[in-house]
Amino acid sequence: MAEFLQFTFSGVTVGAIYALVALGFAIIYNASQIINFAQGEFVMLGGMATVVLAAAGLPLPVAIVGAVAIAVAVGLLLERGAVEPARHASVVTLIIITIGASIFLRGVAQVLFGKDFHRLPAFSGDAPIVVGGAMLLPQTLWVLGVTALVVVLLHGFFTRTLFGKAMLATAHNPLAAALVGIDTRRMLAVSFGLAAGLGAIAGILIAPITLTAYDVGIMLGLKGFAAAILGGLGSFPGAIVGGLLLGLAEALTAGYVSSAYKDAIAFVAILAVLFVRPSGLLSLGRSERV
Amino acid sequence: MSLLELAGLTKRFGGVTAVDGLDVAIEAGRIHSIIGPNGAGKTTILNLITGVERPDRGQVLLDGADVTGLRSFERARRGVARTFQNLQVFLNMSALENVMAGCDRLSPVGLLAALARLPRVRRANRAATARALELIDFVGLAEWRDAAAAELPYGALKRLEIARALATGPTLLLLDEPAAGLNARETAAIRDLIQALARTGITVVLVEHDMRLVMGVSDHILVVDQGRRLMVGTAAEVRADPRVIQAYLGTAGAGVTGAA
Amino acid sequence: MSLTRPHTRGLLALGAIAVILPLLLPNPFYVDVATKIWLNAIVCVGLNLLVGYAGQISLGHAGFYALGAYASAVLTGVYGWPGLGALAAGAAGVGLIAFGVARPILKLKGHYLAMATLGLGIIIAIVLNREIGLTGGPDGRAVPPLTVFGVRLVGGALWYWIAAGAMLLAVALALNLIDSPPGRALRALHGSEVAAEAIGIDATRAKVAVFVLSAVFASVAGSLYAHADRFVTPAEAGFLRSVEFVTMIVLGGLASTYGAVLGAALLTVLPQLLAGLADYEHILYGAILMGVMIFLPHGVVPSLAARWGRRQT
Repeated sequence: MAEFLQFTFSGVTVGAIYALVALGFAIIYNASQIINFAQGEFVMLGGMATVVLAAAGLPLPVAIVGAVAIAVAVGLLLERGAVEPARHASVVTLIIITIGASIFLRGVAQVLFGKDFHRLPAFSGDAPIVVGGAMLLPQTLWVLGVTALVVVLLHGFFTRTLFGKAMLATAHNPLAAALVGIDTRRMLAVSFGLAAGLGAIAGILIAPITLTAYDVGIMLGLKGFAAAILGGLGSFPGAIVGGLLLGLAEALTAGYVSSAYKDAIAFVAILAVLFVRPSGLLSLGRSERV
Repeated sequence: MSLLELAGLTKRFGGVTAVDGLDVAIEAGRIHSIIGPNGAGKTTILNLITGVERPDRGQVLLDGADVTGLRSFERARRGVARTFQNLQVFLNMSALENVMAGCDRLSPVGLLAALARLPRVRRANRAATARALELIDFVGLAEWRDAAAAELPYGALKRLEIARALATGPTLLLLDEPAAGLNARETAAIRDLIQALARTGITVVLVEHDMRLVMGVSDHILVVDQGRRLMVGTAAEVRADPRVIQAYLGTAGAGVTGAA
Repeated sequence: MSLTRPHTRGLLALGAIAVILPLLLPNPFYVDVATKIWLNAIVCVGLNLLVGYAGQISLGHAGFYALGAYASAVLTGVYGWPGLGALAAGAAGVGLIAFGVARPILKLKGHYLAMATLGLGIIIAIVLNREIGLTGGPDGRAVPPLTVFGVRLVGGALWYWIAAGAMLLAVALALNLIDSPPGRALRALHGSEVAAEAIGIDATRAKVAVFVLSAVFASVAGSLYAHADRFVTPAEAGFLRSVEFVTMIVLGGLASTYGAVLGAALLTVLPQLLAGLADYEHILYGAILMGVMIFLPHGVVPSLAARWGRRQT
């Protein structure tokens, strides 16, 4: 039982990170029907920039805010420089552009930060708390707490603010949104900024637990995409559920089956779910009129 | 035996019953029309006949054989062809190739034979080209035959869909609003085309809002309202039936009866 | 109207390029790069049938490529199979795997299909990384030379001709298919799946067939690569390699067989040109990828064809 609890803790921790990345995918997808394959690089940027800023002598909270700001700026630049000019290109072309962007960002990170792993100190020390026989790292509480806070804030943003509602309207019907005077281009820019910020927060939260390096974005990005698809592309609750499920599936597989195949299990699970539900778990079926 | 029979056909979308226990028999060799107010379920009926949608209840019988469980392409191979209300032209191909793709059903070729370009592939290509050229002439698109389909004007695309459907050698041809969006001259040309292909022995089922066209060409008219059969009769009978007028007025409102 | 003549002309032109190219290359290193161009082109020509013509994205074809390479490496190296037998067995095995997953995978559309194929490729890459006993793990494994009827096929120049010949064969097969009833069926279901079914095309079957075919093309190219390079690593199955293949065909121009070959050439040469930049290689590679896709979203061949006002090949 303690063992199961232990695996669940680590599954939920990683799952929360996947959920944050998946939310980034969902936000950009809703604003533009684009899958941003550079999403994982925001996660990397968040973690790496915090490490570098902290190493430069900034207090940790300042370094964190600075890192998120950097990631958001990069997200906005990416949207303006690479996505906006190709706004009406085909899906495949846009996939390649964002992958090009991720290779570019990874290359920059490699030059700036080197190829080594970096460690970020845990926010509140490393002394584990024992719960039901299982060890709970304080950083896990930070991950879950901040993720929950972010979800609540996002929910408020999308349901309470005019801007958030406009973004949702754009997601449901871009043409109608444009007709009632919503600046859909600005929505796209904001969605990239928001997604970049979410990714950076995920990267900062997880860095003390898993270490970080210039190339951690690839896998984290793909897992986030998998989580978004698992829950149903474009669905916010789906992204959260998908992320948590994916994290749990991985942790339990690693614990009880084989840690070598932990990454594979996530993708086997995705395939299995898609074969049964071709639009993910929480998607609304949309059918084409002929 | 009827060419096509719908028996107790029912289709629901969520809470809406688009087609509700429809019983209809369609005899071979005539022009039949389905009319009804917007949202009466006309396109859904065509989708159920062609297998694009599956009914919740009831059967589709073709020449007396139950085809309800068959997929769309299997019904096409049994002689059911159609056009689409929202055009479904292959815009990534030329006009000629669109029609050739329809012709290919008549001379099937396997993947390996195609890779090796066996003599029968060349024969199939030649046969498809010749037949497609004939059909393109027949529907009046000779000037467009080598153009990319994406370059064709709207009216020409409507004819192209008809040529593609004819290419499959159908016994039953379903036309979903062939005159929608066309001007009076183009509509007259479509009418002539429908009558010409009916003379070749093809059974036509026409879904159309242009009442002049419907009344002018139809041997039988099925009037549907809210997914149910309101009546079946000749043009004169339909025109005289107060229930038809009631159905159109009841849903469309007094101000827009011009559409009917 | 002759349907065959333009094909013959195009193939002859491509063949002439393949013959002249080695004369222009200053040293064996460049011959090896040219060999890689032709092998990548085989994958791309097959993948283009799936993505460009049938309109079904795959972000996992490097998995099939690597499976072919490892089938040859392991069957010849560990079990002592004859090279051609291993190549054929690899192609058959990959074809079977592709056939097994094709039906559920190709039911998916758009980003869901992208995710599923991506997942499939990653699963293959992970298996190749972990089954160290057979595959050698992340370090890869050496591959014996290809032996045909007792003759050992070794040497960069020889492999150039083998690769060029295989590429020309792949292009000829693809051109044959495109201009045939099954080829028109593929393009039709790309244009409109519901209309394709309405004219009697079994869309599911057509998609499965082209998925299997493109996987087999990739597998054969992988087998040849394994023997040409005499070494395989799991990186060949990686996500980035899959993306590279897709980028090649998009760069050349989707639904253009010669475009697929051109795209393979451009993207095989580019990293060689950037290799001198060491650390800055990825930055430039990513930037070029973005730039080309922004300014030539339809790829090189269709963009040039449009500029010259001619119909694309």
